[in-house]
This record gives sequence, C-alpha cells and structure tokens, in this order.
Amino acid sequence: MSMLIINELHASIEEREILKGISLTVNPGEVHAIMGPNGSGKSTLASVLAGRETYEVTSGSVAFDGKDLLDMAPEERAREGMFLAFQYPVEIPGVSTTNFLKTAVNEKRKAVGLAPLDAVQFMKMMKEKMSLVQIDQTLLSRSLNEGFSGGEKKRNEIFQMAMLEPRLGILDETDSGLDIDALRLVANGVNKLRNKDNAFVVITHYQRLLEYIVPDFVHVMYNGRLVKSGGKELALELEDKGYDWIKEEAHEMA
Amino acid sequence: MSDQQKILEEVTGSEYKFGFTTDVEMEVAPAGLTEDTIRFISAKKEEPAYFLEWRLKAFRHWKKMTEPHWGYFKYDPIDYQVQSYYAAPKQMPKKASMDEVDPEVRKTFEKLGISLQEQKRLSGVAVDAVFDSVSVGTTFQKQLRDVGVIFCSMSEAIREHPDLIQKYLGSVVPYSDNFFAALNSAVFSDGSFAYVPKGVHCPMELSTYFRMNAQNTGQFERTLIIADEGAYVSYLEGCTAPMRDKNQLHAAVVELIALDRGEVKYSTVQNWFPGDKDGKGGVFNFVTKRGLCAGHHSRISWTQVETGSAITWKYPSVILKGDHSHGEFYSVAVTNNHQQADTGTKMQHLGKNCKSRIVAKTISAGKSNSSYRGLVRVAKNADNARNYTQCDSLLVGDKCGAHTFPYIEVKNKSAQVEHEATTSKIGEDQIFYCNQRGIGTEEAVSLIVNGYCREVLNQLPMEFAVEAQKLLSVSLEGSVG
Amino acid sequence: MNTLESAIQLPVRIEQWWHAQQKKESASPVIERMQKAYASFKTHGFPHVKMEDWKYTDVRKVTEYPYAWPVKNEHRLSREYFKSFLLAGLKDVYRLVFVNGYLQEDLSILPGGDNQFTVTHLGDDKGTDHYEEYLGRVANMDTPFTALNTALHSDGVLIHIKKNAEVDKPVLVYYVALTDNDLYLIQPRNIVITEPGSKVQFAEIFVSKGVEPSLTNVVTEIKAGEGSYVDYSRIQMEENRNFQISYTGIEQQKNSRIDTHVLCLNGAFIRNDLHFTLQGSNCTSIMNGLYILDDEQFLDNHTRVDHAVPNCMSDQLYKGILNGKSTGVFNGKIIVHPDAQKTNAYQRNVNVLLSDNATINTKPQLEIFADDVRCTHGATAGFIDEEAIFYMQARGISKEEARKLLMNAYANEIVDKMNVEALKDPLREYIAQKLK
Repeated sequence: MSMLIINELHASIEEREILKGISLTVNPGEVHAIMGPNGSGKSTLASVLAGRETYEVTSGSVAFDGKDLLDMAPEERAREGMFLAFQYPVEIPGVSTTNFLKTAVNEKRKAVGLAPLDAVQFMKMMKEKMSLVQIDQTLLSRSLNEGFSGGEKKRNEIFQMAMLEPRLGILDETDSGLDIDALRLVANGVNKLRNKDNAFVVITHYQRLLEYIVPDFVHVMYNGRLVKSGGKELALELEDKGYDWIKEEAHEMA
Repeated sequence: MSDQQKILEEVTGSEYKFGFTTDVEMEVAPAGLTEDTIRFISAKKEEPAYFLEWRLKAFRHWKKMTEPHWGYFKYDPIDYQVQSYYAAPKQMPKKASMDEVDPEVRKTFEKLGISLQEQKRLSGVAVDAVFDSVSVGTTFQKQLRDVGVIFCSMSEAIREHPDLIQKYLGSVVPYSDNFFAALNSAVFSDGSFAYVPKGVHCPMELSTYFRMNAQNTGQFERTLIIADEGAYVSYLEGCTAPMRDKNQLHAAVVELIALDRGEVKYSTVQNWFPGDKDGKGGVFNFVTKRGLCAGHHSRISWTQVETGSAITWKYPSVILKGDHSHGEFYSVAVTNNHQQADTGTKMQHLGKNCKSRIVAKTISAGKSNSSYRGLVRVAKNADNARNYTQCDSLLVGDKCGAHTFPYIEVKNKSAQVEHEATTSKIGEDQIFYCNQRGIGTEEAVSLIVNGYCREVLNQLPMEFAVEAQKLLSVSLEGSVG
Repeated sequence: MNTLESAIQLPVRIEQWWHAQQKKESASPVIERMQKAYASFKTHGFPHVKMEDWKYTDVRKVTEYPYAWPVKNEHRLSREYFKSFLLAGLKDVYRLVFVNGYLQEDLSILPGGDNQFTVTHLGDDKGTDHYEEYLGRVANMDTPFTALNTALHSDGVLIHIKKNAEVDKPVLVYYVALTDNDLYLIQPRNIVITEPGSKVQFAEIFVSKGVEPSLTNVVTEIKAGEGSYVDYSRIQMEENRNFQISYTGIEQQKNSRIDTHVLCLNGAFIRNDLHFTLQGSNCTSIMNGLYILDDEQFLDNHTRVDHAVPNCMSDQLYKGILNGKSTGVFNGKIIVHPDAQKTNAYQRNVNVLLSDNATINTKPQLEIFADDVRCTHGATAGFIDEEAIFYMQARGISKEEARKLLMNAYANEIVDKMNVEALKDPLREYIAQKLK
C-alpha cells in the first residue's frame, strides 16, 4: 500500500492560491526530492502536509496510510508518524530540548497505547540517538533552539526525527544556511534513519544536498504545480541548466 | 573652550531665521475674551446663525473648564484677557484673484518660500496661506474643483458647504474635548477645509502655511479634512512666527476623517518661534489633532517634525473605528535652549484587525526638556489589534532632559502590542569615525541626527523632507556634549 | 461587630485607633515622627484615581470594609497549624512569623547567641534606639498608605546583619492573615539593615486563612550598606478574599547589590510599591517580577528606581499572565538624575492575556536628565506564540499540553532567577497548579 497519496491538492493563503493541483504518491522505502525556484510553493506543500492553520486547503485530498490526513490536527499527524523538519525551527525560551522531547515521545506512545517511558528509559533512548546523529549533550539541556546556530538548529531537528521515529520525514530546506560539514552531518543522520519501512520527502533549492541524500525520484515544482518528474539525474540537469528552461517549458504548456 | 563646545554655542545661539515682522495695516479685535468677542469674530466672517450658536456653546463650556497642567513643562499662567483673538490684514483679498493679496503679505510668504503668484507656484502643491487669523489665498482651486475636490478656507466652507460642516466639524474633536479645543471652537478665525469625494485620488498635495505676525494676538486655526470612500489626500502644514519677546498663544484643532478605504496623510513641519536662547518669548503651542478612521480599510497617517515653539503640547491621534483600519504616527521633536515639548500620540483600537504604528524620535539639547507621551488602547472587542511603538531619545549635552510616558491599555487577548524605547547620545566614537574618514564634526552630527530621524523624514513628501532636514541641521549641528 | 460600628468609615476608625494608641505613649522622637506621618495621612487621605500613581487602582474597593484592629495574642498558631500553610514547612531556614500583624515569637527560628545577625522585636516599646535611628528613614512618606503604616503599625522587627557577615541560611518572614471571626486591618513594619560587606537572603511570604477579607498594609525598609548583597523575595499567595498594599523601600550604598523577586501568585487585590534609591556609585539593582492572575484578581505593580549617582545598573523584568476577568497594572519608573552619568537602566514588562475579559495596563516610564546613559525599556501585551504551538503540535504534543508547557516555561524564567533554592520547587509546583 502506498504510504502517502496526494491527489489534486489546492491550497491558498488569504485568498491567494499557492498550490494549484499537486499529485504525488510516496511508497515505503522511497526518497523523493522536490526542487524548484523560490516562491514556487515547496514550503507551502510541507506546511499543508504538517497541518499549519494559516493555509486553507480548497480542494483535493491527502491519504496517509489510508487515513484522511487533512482531517487530522497537526499533533495527530505527528503521532501517526509524520515529521516535518522545519526550515526555521522555532526558539522556545525556558523549555529544554530534553523536557520537550520527553513530552513528545510520551504523547506519541500514549496515542499508540504504550506506557510512557520513565526517566531512565528515556535517557537511554536519548543517548542512543545522540550518537546516531552526533549531537552534543550540552545542546539538549539548553532551551529549545534558543541561541542555537543555524547548523545546531538543523541538527536538533534531525535528532528529534531520530527520537520520534517517523514513517514519513519531510525535510523543508534543511540544507539552507548550512556549511558543507554541517550539511554532511545532517545528511548522514538522515541516511542512518532510512529503511525499507519509512520514506522521506526532501525539499531543497539546490542539488547539493542530494549528493548526500540520494533520492529515488526528483520532482520539479513551479508556480504551484509539479511540472516535471524524473530520476536522480534530473537534479543534475537542473544544477547544470538552472530553472529557466523549466519555466519556459511550463509557460509553453500553459 | 573646545571646538565642539564652540560649535554648540554657535548653533544654539543661532538666530531664528524666520523672525522678521511684516509691516501691514491690520484690523485687530480689542484684547479680551467675552461673548461679544465671539459675536465680533462670527460677524466679521459673515457666518450663518447656526455657527455662532455653536461657538457660543463652546465658549460657555470653556469657561467651566480649567487649563490642563499634566504635561511635563512649566510656564507662567496665561492671561486669556490680555490678548486679541482676531487680527487680519486690512486689505482683504476677494478670492477671484491672487493679485489682490496685499503685496506686503505676499512678499512675506515669498520670503518664507511660499509663492502665491501664478507662475512661481510649487508644482503639484496647492497652498492655502493663512496670515494671522485669516486665509489670504488658496491656489489651484480650479484644477481641484475639476476633479471634485473642495479645498478652501474654513470661513468659506462654513458659508458655502454648511452640510459638510454641520456633519463633520466637531465630530472628531467635540468642543467639550479639552480646554484648548473648547477655546479654539469658540474663537477660531480661519483655517483650511478639504473634502475629497468618493474614489478620487487627490491629484496634488494640499498645503496650508500659517504665519503668525501680529503682536499680542493668539492664533486659533481650525482644519478639517475628509477623505470619502476610496479617496486619498496628502496634506502639508507649515508654520512660522516673528520673534516677539512676549509669548504668543497658538491653539489649533485639526480633524481628519477617512471613510471606507479612504486615506489621509497629514504632515507638519512646525517651526513657530521657539523663544530666544534665554527662554524669552516664543509660541505656546497647544494643539489638538485627531483623526477618525471611520470606515473599513481606512488609513490615517500623521507625520510631524517639531522644531519650534517654546512649549509644545500636542498628541496627534487616531481612532481606529473601522475594521482593518491603519493608524500611523511618525514624529521628530527637537528641543533646544529652554524649549519644552510634551508630544506623542494616542492610538485607540476599536474595530477589528486594525494596525497602528508609532515611531517617535526626540532630540534634546541645551536646557530643554522633551517628552514622549503616548497611549495605545485596545478595546474589548478590537480583535487582532496590532501595535508597534518605537520611541527613541537622543540627548545632546548634560543639561537637558528626555522623558518617556507610554501608556498601554489592553482588554483583548488577541492583541499584540509592543513598545520599545532607547535613550542614547551621539557617541564620541561615532564622531571620531566620521572625522577619521574626513568628515567634519558639524557635518558628522548632522549626518548622525539625520540618520537617527531617517525613518520619520522618509514619511514626508519630498519638498518637506528637504526643508525638515535643513531645519534639523540648523538647530543641532555640531552640538556634541 | 455591631452594625453601628460597621457603619463607621475607615478613616474615622483609624482616627479612633490613633487616639487610643497615643494615650499609651509618652513623648519621644519616634512618637514625633509617627505624629508627623499621621498628620500627613490625615491631610491627604486615601489616594484616588485622579492621582497619576493611582490612575488604574481604585482603593475604595478595599477601604470601604469595616475592618477591626487585631488584638495582640488573640490569634495564635500551633506549630502544626502553621506548617499547613504553603511554603511553611521548609527546613534549613531562619524564620519569623507574624500573625495578623503581631510577631508570634514561639514560632521563630533564629541563630543562637551572638551570631551573624540580630533580630530586635520592636513590639510596643516605641522608645528604643533602633526605632529612633531607622524608622521611616528609607520609606517615602508621601505615600498615604506608608504614612498610615508609619503612624499606626502593629508590630515589627529590626533585622541587623553585622559587618562582613554572610548569613548561612535564608531568613524567611511569614505573614499569616487569619480572618475567621472578623475583618482586619493588618499593619506590620519591618526594617532590614545590612552592614558593609554582609550578605543575606531574605524573603517575605504572605498567606491567609479565613472567611472574611483582610487588608494588609505592610511596609519594609531595607538599608543596604556598602558592598553588601541582599537577595530579597516577596511571595504573595493569600486567598482570593484578601487585600494587600505593600511598600518596600530600598536604599543602596556604594558597591551594593540587591536582587528582588516579586511573585504575585494569589490574592484578591494587591498594590505593590518597590522603590530603590541608589545613593552610592557602582550599585546593582535587579528586579524580577511574576504575576499570575485569574478570576477577578487585581494587581498593581509600581516600581521606581532613582538613579542619583553615576555608574549604577538597574535591570528589570516583570512578566505577567492574565486570565479570567483579572486586571493587571504595571508602572515602572526609572529616573536618571542630572549627575547620574554612565547609568545603565533596563526595563521590560511582558504580558500574556489568556482571556478576553482580562485587562493589562502598562506604563514603562523613563525620566532622564543625564546624557551619557544607556536606558532601554519595553512593554508588550500579546498572546501565546502560535508558531511555537504549531511546532510542538508537529512533534505530536497536543495544543493543550503545548500551551501548558509554554506558560510554565514563561513563568519559570522568573522562578529560575531566584536564589533561595528551597523556595523554587514548591513555587514551580504551585504555578503549574494555578496554570492548569
């Protein structure tokens, strides 16, 4: 069974349509990359999938493991196994990453009928995942994302993903603002989490990230539509030729 | 004496360059204020009976009121019976032609850079020139009339457009509002009136220039500007007065109204005589300015550059009544020598989804005191109100004061109100940095002050912005403590 | 209480109490000072909303009750009963307990012998030297309630920290209002003197039990000697029927540091005045505040810092959470006097409204007469950060839980800054309860 089926999805913000009919199917074990120029609607798609209220879905459907995703509150989607790595992770003063994650992990366990982890079990899990994504303990005792550098924030997102073990991870421009070392660390984390049962949607402007997280499919988004799909070689073509030819093609089609 | 101190002395000692007087034959009402004075003014202006009644009501109300003293300033009591409430050049112009304006008066305006002559008029700016108590001429009236814009003196409006006057005058600032508004309602002599009809984008800037000339005369002008549905108007106000060693009283009232999607932008460069460097003379400026965003998506914006007056008491405000309306207040207030300014704004959020923005910059030098006093109020039903207030003070020298009194009152949980304020001085390191790059100290201060005020000056129409920058430089350059 | 008596207005009753007290006293400099204070109170009466400092605070809500004057020793707490109050069972502390304005000495825990500090019970003896030296030296007599307390306080102590002494345990002063039988006007007065180089943690904790309202009008004067360090907490958690008007006057000599933590967690009506006068250079004054209001609770926090000398630093952060039909007022005043160059003064007041019936009035105020200073202030009123809520939701945390986490984190920022460790956990727990 397909994990995620997006069918003719339209969404708008303040009466302005951003997504103009997106269809996409993701199966377990796959990695999809969505590329496209700025303002094409990539991040909107990520937000709509995660359930951000500022966007209004005007038509279309999204099924996640056979369930109607659009019907669920953001936290329900998360508990069902959807994880959005934010482009701009939010700083939450006064809430430590540890405390935050313990709450999140246990809420998810509660939703699937598991007993909450006690402090010892939780710390054990933390240690395991910390070594997996190579994150420093001191970061985790600080307030969530507060005063973190860009790279630290993104690594913290991947760490949270490791902790929450999602079925579907959506990486929204996770590579933006990262230097090459940080990028490699983040990509390594993702690669370690990849398996045959989960899937990833990697949203990015540049081909760079895809050298480290090799996708099975590449889609190009322009003006609210997926205008071209192909294998990983499409990303290289984009890197080579830029986005202009896509735009021209799209205009010719329209 | 160090160089910097010398420059400070020079600048703070510099003369008020608009301080000349005009020798013109005047008709002046006898000093004192009684009901007869009001009947005299009303008769002079050939006002309809309804209007005299309104004035008298205001006067009776005023007599019951007491002068407010909560502002951050001190001054000797004002004797309302020693001054005159009406002064006009004898040779009254009939509006048919500008050429009938007394040549002396016309020359005065020319000296001030305001030409009333056909060929020299500022392009794209229609001017109503007010000399003491009366309007002496309004330019470009015909061109405006062609698109339906009414722009004339208040006296003319009272006679010619009684329906609009009765509907709107006093609707935003009722005569009972405060002591000075009541006084103004009783005795105001003239001012400007503008009405921009539905859907009209006023094709040029409207402007009034106020010149106070006569001695021992108060100036009480009244301005009313209405932007009907979808209309837009930008309005400029300028003012100067000669140097007199007695304090002169100025108590104006300005009312702005914006209906659905209407927009009024009001800019002032206030340069009344501030008094000499020992604090002698100068204008007492007690002004009530208020705008009403009556319709949805309406917008009112106040921009002011306050450099003159011995005392300034002025809080241009916006009542955000229509849903989705916007209110803005941008202010630079400069005080020097013994000037005292207590100025700010009120943003009253009543409608839903309204936004307001306040940027107030004060610069204090010499022995002056400058205060920002502001109120942001969010009523219970004003959902999603947004306000951002930024309020900065710059002190030049160690004998002045800068004060901030922001009031925030919120009764709605969806409101976001933010106030930020800083106080600073011109840093020696900043000056040094400029010096090192070859910029002289005077120039550097001017640069820094202008940079400090940039956000506000940017709001002014081009010609005013240039004027305002010059004014700032004149009052402050080089004055580093 | 008979109806005739209850009909007599508070000022009249105060006058009667004053005359009764005067009969017992013989002339002394202290009595003279009290007489002056009383004269000032009589001239001005209770403050009213036309006065700028009382603009949002209508004290008629608390002065129109027929209060009685509590009688000494009428209300006494057993040790067990005392421990049933919030924060009362803490170990490793020194402690003083006032019941309805009178010190109950058998509940005190104080160091034995000639130790780091002395506590002098002012009691009924108005003739002591301490009184003469310190009463009303710091407090500003212009405030009518302070004048009233100076004239007519019931009891008090003078805590004197010796030179270079570092007090080993926090000194906690409890004020218990018991109103089972009657309504009371409760007026304790305390004075804290820290000699140069000394160090002390000092907290005032307000609790209550009863069925009737009480009005506690408390004045505390702190005189911090050169180089001393005082950590001061005021924790208000009376019940929802009790009123409180408090004035804390602080005078700092050079190189001293004072941290204050004002936590208003419960009570029907509270007005706090916290007034710093910085008299020596290089002083540090920290003001942390937290208020959590619900129902129809009313709170007014007034703070004032007079920077009179150069090179001092004051830093203020007051945070509020308002729910129900509550009203909060914040008025922070920083005055930088002409010679106070190189002053650094920071002030922030942030508020979260959780209900459409709650009101916040805030006025952060600067009056500056010196040019070489760095002053910033800010105030905000807003609701919870929706982006943060969404972020948490996206991690599987429910909206409700996310809100709770955020609110607790928001409030605990102030608790975290406190220095008396023993108080922190119980306070965090109390706050979590109140935010449920």
